[in-house]
Amino acid sequence: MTDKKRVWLPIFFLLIAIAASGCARVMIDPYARPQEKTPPKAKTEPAEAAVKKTPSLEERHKPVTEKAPEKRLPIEEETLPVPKPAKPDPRALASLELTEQGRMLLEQGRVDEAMTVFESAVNLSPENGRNYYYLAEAWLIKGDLRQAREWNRLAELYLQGDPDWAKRVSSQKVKINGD
Amino acid sequence: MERKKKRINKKSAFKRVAVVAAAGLGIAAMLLAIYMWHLFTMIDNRFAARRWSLPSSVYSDTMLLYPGQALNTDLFFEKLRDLEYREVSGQPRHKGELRRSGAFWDVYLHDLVMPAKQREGFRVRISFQKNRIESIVRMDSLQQLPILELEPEPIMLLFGGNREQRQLVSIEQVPDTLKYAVLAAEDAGFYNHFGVDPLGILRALYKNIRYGEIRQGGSTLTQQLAKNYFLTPERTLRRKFKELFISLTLETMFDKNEILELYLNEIYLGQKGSISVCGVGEASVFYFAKPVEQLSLVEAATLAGLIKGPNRYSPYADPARCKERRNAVLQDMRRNGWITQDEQNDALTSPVKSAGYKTYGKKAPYFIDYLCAQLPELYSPEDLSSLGLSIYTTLDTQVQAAAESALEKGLARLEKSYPALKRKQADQQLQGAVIVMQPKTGYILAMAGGRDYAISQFNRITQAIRQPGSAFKPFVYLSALDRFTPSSLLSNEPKTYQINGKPWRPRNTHAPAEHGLRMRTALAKSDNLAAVDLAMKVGLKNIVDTAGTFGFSTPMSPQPSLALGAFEVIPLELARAYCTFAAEGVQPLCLSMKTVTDETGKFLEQRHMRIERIISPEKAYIMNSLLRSVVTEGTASSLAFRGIDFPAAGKTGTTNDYRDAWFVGYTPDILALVWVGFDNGDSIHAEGSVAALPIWAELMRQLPQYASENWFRQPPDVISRVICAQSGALAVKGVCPEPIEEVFLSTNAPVDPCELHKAGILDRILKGIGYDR
Repeated sequence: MTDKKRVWLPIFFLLIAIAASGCARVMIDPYARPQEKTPPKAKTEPAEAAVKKTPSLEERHKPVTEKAPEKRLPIEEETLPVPKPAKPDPRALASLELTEQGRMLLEQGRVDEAMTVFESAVNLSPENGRNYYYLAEAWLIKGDLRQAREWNRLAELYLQGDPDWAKRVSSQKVKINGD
Repeated sequence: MERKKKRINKKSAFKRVAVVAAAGLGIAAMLLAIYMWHLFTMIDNRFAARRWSLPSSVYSDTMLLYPGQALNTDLFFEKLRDLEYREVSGQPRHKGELRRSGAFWDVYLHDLVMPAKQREGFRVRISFQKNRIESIVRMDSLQQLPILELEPEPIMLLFGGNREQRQLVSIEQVPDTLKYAVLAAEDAGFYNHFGVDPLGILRALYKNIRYGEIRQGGSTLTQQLAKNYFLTPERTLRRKFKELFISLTLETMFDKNEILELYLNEIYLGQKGSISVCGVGEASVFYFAKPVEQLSLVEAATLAGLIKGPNRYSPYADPARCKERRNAVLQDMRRNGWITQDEQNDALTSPVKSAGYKTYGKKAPYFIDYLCAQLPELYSPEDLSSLGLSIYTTLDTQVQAAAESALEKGLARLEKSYPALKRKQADQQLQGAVIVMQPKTGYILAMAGGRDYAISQFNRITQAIRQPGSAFKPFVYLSALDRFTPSSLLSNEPKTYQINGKPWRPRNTHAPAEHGLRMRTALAKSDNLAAVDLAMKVGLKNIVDTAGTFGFSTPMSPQPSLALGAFEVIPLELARAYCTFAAEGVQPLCLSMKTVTDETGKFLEQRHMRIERIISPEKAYIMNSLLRSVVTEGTASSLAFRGIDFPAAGKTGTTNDYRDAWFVGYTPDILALVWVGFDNGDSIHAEGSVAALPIWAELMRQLPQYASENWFRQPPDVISRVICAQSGALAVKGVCPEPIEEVFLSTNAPVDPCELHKAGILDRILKGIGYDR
């Protein structure tokens, strides 16, 4: 073997090895991408943040502490200006007001009236998951498990992003299916 | 002897006559007593059971107001007027008054009286900023209200044979001025006589002779009541006697105030189109748009003057004659010492002011028909027209007005653009229908079953069966979602199929440029060939089954033309089926009637929304996404130029030979279906996007309160992937020229990379060592 060959042969083999490993990686996983979990839409969160500002609801609501999840921002994001919160949706706010009215009626045992109020609340804001939760409660009281189950499922869909409410929805689900 | 005999004969004859006379009188007295007893029983029964036939009222839904709400202020003012709010120039001081003052409106609310919900009226200030409510403040406490509910609007009265409308009032509610005015006009000695007033008759005779006209009748109020309430209008002596005896019986059974109360609620006081206005309660609203308690002296005298001849002395018919009669009543009141000279002088010179009235027109007549069709299951027509039931519905009068106006304008516009669509005969005109619903609750907010109810009462939403055309395609695509995805390539090659042994070759109106379309594009562009191809792959029987689960009750058979909507549907069922997508997989029960109460407010019937799971939320989300593409890049993309700048989904529909044009469009908050066509199946020469879609856009533009940026929540089992628009497979980054984001069910998301645009070997090596080009 010549001296030149002795020098270039290992380099050549090294290049082949790198190329082979590169091709192998691409062949195994052509489009490697982390599993995406679509974040819940931020729509209701600003609305609910705005709701907290309204004294009347705050006084009457059991405070639902929503802590922002602990998150370490990459350095470049920390220097960006904080974006303004989305304008609260007036329909959502009005709907929450009705939700509270309905909840109080439910507590007083006035189930039919409460359901009428929740129906108006759903008409105003179909995104309001709490209405579905309370409707499921109302149907439970009335003894219609099938309806309770359906409304609970809708509540689950809309309250998935809210840990406290999601917990309540799960307990309700157990109550419905357990009966 | 003979003289004595004569005397004895005379005496016995006298005795016999006396005995016969006494017996006769006794029998007569007994007969009279029996007759009086009969009258007593008749009167007692009449009042014990039900005093009057009260028609049942149908009410719209309540209206909710809240800060931030977008409103068309003109339509809102019309709504307040329909709710019998009258505009005043000063501060509203009575319930039912409103003042508009630039950017704020002061309203003195009516009492809210609903089943299980009563609220005393109070004053509010509603501030506006650019067609949006800025704030609602309660004026007595200066409290900011987060929400305000306006009372429901009466939209219909269900009458029986006698079309009388009345609002019952108690004697305590009637102001003294009205009582005195009525007495002065009709029976000044009412409290003094025993049912018949002989002096009164003489007095009336004198007055009539003095003034040379029939100024006062001789009948007392009791006699008038007897005549109107129990007897047919005959002028015979026999009837007069009967009237006399009934009056006497009434006077023994009831006290004066009770008789007056009956009278004031019974008396005929005018005509509202085909309906009689009876009783002072109804009359004060009809003539002066205010409750009886608020009548002024002048108004009370006017009403009292009407009794003699409601149509002759009506302020709507002849204000001059009305004023003359009113002033005569005022003079009689003064003469009896019931008003002062000053009061009389002021009143005499007052002008005749009345509220003006809308003839009783039918609001939402198709909706009412649909509602009434459900009522016989619960109540007979006699019950409905006499029990004074209150029926609370889901109708939104503003949405109804918007739907009717959009439909009429749209059809007129089409006739103008296409003169061939004009028809001479009204009952053969171009027709249309609109239904508006809230998808989650199933509330029917509006229903226009035709262009003009007066011409045709046929309800094209609930009774017509028409081919849906392409508006049926979403159900084909839905059936395919287990095996196919929005990025699956469908074939749009022309093919021939067999239907009942005959060849059938579907065609596209507009031939697409490319061969092979992704599912999303195929639905957005409404490609017929791709739809049929997909249907054949999915299985026609599966599609028929899917249609069944969505609640289509009309027959469908597994033919290839099913994919193009060749099988007829009822428009209401089509709208309800689309609600399933908009309600994230659940289908609501169509709701028009919410509550029924009796005249005391007791609940008789209550209906709540009910939902049934038809498809998973994930499939619903995918369908909503596909149908959104119809609006953003497909056959409904012209919505962007028609003022629809909020997220919406929908599907156009056109049938063979352009016999039907459809557009079903929706958001999470509202769904509306529009159909256009001829009843006899003539062609309208226009597609769904040209004929029906503009009507939908016009309707939505009139409802700014429903425009929002809201969209459906993506469920966790729906995942997003970037795919190659040309191959439908996963895009190779930096290689595929048209990568787009697509949504998939997690169960069948693509995993293979695009084969069409394979990465070159250098790219693969570089990528392998971590260098992305």
